[in-house]
Amino acid sequence: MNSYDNFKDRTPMWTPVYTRFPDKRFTTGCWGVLCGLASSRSHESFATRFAVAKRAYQVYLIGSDYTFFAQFKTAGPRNFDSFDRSWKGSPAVRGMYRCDTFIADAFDATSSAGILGTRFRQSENFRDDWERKVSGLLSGVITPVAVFEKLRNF
Amino acid sequence: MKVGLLISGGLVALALYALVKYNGDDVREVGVSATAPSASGLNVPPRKPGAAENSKSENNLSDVLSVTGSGKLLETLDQLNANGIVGTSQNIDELDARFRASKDSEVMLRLARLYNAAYFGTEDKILRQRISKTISELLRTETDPVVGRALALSHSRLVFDEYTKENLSFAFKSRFLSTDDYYGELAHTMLGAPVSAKSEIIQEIVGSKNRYAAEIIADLVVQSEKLEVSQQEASMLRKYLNEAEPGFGITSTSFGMIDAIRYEQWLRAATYFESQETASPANILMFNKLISVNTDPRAVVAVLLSSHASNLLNEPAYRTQLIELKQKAEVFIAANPSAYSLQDAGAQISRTFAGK
Repeated sequence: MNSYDNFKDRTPMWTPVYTRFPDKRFTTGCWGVLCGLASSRSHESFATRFAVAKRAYQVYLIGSDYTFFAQFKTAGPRNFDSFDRSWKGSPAVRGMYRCDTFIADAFDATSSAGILGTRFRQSENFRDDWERKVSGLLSGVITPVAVFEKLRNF
Repeated sequence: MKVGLLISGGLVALALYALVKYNGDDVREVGVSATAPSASGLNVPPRKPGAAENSKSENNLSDVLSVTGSGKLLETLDQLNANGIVGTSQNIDELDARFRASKDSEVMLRLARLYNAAYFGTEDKILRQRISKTISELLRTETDPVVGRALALSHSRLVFDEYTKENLSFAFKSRFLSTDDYYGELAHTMLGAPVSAKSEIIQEIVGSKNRYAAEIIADLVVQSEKLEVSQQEASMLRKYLNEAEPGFGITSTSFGMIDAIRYEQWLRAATYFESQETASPANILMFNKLISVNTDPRAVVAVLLSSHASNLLNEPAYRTQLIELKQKAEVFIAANPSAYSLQDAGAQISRTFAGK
């Protein structure tokens, strides 16, 4: 297995990127492996920095597969079955990502259209600059370098 | 935030490997923007403007897969997996034929995933049973662990049926699944399982002491509190979670957002089960744990950053305890001025309290 430490020993790392997050922008959504209706307890509101990490953690808990292509599949939670009022519906959907699409997905969760893998997600102030930047991560040609450069210039 | 911190679990090595290996050389246009598969029950509105329409259609798989070049075939299979396929008997025949004829692991693991897509691409119970049975049979005769893992994970995310538990057990014993894979999948299947199977699953997870499954269980508890477990099972889960308290990184000032989230989820789940047994309110149990001198101050920072703490601030009954916790967090943060992530967390906590 290609462990993280083993990899670091063999390969030069890229410079860390420190992203500037907006302080007062909140995203409400479902961040777990189960998602109920928008009014249920499974929906919580987080500041942007925390929301990005919450989405990354949600993908980690749901599980994902690696691909070396830019095509990706969003990891999605198990949904509350409103018909029989239980969690017996479809199981959580495993995601499929490359490094760049995984990061882009986590950020995209904070955009107004960022419904990746969740339901009824809402962001406040959705016409702001952050919205434009985040939407840009998944537009055009998606490559690790392109996403890295975009994040560096956030 | 350091972006690398976001990458967690099994994706770490893979993500960073690709980050360097491809280094801009591997430029590919995304032909079809990903959408959550609607057939899986997700009620998802259309993607953002500019994204291509979901390409799931009446496409015949044999036509779609008649591409030349192995790279193009793999990419096409990824697109089908992302966008879903229609589960017709013709498409399932094509999947069967291609899987049995292929010797390429990369192709086979993608075909294994497509069975899952085909299952959710139909509501026909007979076709769904056929897919479930086929995956189970292929799993039994598979020798390549990479393909075996893909088959096992493709099946475990179908609706729970008579093969689910047996397949997972077989794949684990065959070493197709890692320990985290296996117990993680058990935790995911638990909710859809009938009562008797659910009870066995809980016993097995609890006996494993596996930490990844504990994280999933904690999340389930926090999200729903409706696990519908017996008193005895709740007691077993409480003990299991108590033994899986998460830590905060290598140094005494390490503080990552993922660690913070993991801890906060764990504490809420652990105190939920404890409150069920002791009849004490979960929030009081949480405050008692956090204010204890034996509890890492970073645990306090983690909880104060959460949406749950922010909501509790609206309740006058908890204000005194929350201010005490804030003071404990501030003393620790002030003592570590060079720890960027802690300083940043401190600023966020101050904003939260100031807004209430």
